[in-house]
Amino acid sequence: MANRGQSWDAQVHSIADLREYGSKKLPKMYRDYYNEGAMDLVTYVVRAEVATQCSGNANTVAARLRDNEAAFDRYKIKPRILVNVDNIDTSSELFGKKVSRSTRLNQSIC
Amino acid sequence: MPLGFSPSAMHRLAHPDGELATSRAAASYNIAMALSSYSTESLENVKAQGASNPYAMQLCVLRDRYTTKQMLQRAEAAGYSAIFLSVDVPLLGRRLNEFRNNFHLPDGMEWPNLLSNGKAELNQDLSDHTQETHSYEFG
Repeated sequence: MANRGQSWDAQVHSIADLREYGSKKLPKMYRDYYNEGAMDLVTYVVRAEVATQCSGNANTVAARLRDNEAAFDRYKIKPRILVNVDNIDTSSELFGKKVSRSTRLNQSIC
Repeated sequence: MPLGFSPSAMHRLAHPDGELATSRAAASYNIAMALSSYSTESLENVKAQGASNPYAMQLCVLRDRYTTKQMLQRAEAAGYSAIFLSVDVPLLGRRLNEFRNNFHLPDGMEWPNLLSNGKAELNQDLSDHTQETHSYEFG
């Protein structure tokens, strides 16, 4: 599988995989705390029918589409083309320090 | 590779090394880390695992202003570069999973940044969801 980004774990290839795999290892009390939110989880649920079908099911949270995440999905990355990519540098400066990657950080449970 | 770690609470619920491991990962990849006030390792110990990567501290303005002030001072002294101030929590949302699961911190786990063992905040009477000590108050 040349010319592709590397996977570092046989089972975890994405953040979605990481959430699913990690969630299975956690006791319910902690799994629900990390994965859920307040009241009806409105910011989590985009397609009500999905949530309804799965309500009461252990996979409820994993099956739900999350509005908070979907908001980020609506950002489109526009690739530049026909530019020299011999030396790719994704580093940037954040809080006055050089970092390998930078983006806006968003907050989760606190 | 993550772009940076946003603040999330109580990493030791997921792994015994908790926020120390998160900090080591951020340092080894030279990415930013923001730490929750409700971390289960102290802000000083978390920062001590870092390298040249930047750190930010998440803060709320608590009803007990001393708690907020000492955390701000400690974060500055420890070398945190920025504050993430939460401004949308005049009241904490009702997280029903916490009520249903009787969510609590296991013995031996605390909130060192808040100088609290979390017992008073999490083991409250369900008829009173107002958090006296760590409620948020603005203005």
